[in-house]
Amino acid sequence: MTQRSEHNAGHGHDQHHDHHDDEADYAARMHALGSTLVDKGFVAPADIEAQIARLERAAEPGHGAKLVARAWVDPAYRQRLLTDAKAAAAELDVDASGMTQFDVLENTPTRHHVVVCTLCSCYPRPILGPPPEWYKSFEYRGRVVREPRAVLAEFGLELPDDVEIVVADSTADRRLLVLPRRPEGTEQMSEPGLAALVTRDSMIGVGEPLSGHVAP
Amino acid sequence: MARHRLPSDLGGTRLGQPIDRNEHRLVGWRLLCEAVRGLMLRNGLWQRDVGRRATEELGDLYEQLDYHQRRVLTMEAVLVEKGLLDPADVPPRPPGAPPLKRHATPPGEPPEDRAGKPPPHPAFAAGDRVRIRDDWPPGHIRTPAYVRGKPGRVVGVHGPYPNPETIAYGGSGLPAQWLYTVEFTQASLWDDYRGRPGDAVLVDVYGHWIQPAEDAP
Repeated sequence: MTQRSEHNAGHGHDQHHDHHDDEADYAARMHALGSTLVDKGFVAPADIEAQIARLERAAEPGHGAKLVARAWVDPAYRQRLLTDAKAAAAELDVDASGMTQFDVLENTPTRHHVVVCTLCSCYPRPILGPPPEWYKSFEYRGRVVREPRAVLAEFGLELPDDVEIVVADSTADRRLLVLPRRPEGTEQMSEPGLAALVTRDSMIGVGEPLSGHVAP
Repeated sequence: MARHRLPSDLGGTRLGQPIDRNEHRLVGWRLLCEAVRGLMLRNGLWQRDVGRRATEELGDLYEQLDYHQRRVLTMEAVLVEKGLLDPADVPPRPPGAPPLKRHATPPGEPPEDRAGKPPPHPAFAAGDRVRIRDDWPPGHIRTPAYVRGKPGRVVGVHGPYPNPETIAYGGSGLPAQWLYTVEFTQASLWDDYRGRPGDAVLVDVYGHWIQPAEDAP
């Protein structure tokens, strides 16, 4: 049998009856590890503080939205983003150098992309910040490569039958970003206005950008 | 031959099980965990494939723990392995965790690891029909179980990359392997797939896992 049965798979820590004890135990372990690394001089407390601040700033997916909005308004930029995403990111002062390779997958009227890492949690962190918890969950990782339409429906994304779904599994050194389709009715919008429509989920491929229509 | 499947290799499992889509903002020790791991990565104290391999070695514990719990145990194990921490610096391991080791030990035959240039040219080009090797060796493998033995089509050629199978045990990753993106139709992966015929999965696969297959669809 090549596929592990779904039925013998547990739900992870949710079934653990000592959840609160575990939480305290692992908090203590992590704080102890941090102190030991500081005591031995491997990391400096100031660097830890700075790194925490960086992570909190990076939680905003604004970098990705900038790339997408520019690609929507500038066809030549869009082409550069699809052929050399790192260089195209650098044009907009977005630092993608921390990723070995960075590629952008373009959605079209007939092809929709969605990104996963079935083996761990590979994600374009310099562009989108740390991944959401669900992206790292056993359920998302397990299911989306096999029942993508059911998974997308749970995220509220029902694609028409004539759209093919392409799931991209980040198993190696490439980090992937989805270039979603520009919403209809946004022809008059400014580039910053467009960027505000670009959600994190639309760049993972589990959602669409916000609608450009303003409520009356 | 025993078919080794890593505890982390989840593709195709958990069908129908709901996804918890709540946004949990990282705080406290989980944020500290991410920060320390990021610093270690930057200082060269952490290699992604070493960390992944140590996480995979948690075995059955892998699915009982959450992401950051796994990561804390992994960081402890890797730092001891590298000689940066002494086992006495680390709290007792929880039941079921593998014992701390002072050296990484690859299972079975150690994978080839020697200095050398990668093959100068890729063996495959975009459009080639291929089949993924139906092999199930132990160790740190980045070719997901659900594509092994399956036919597909090369759609991207990305150049030589160090081999994660040896990096994972402290090796050099040399000779580098060409990395390809292979497209599989959903129907070729899952007998029971219901969806459009054009629905597909893209997987990045290292060249030593790929065979030519004129008969692939």
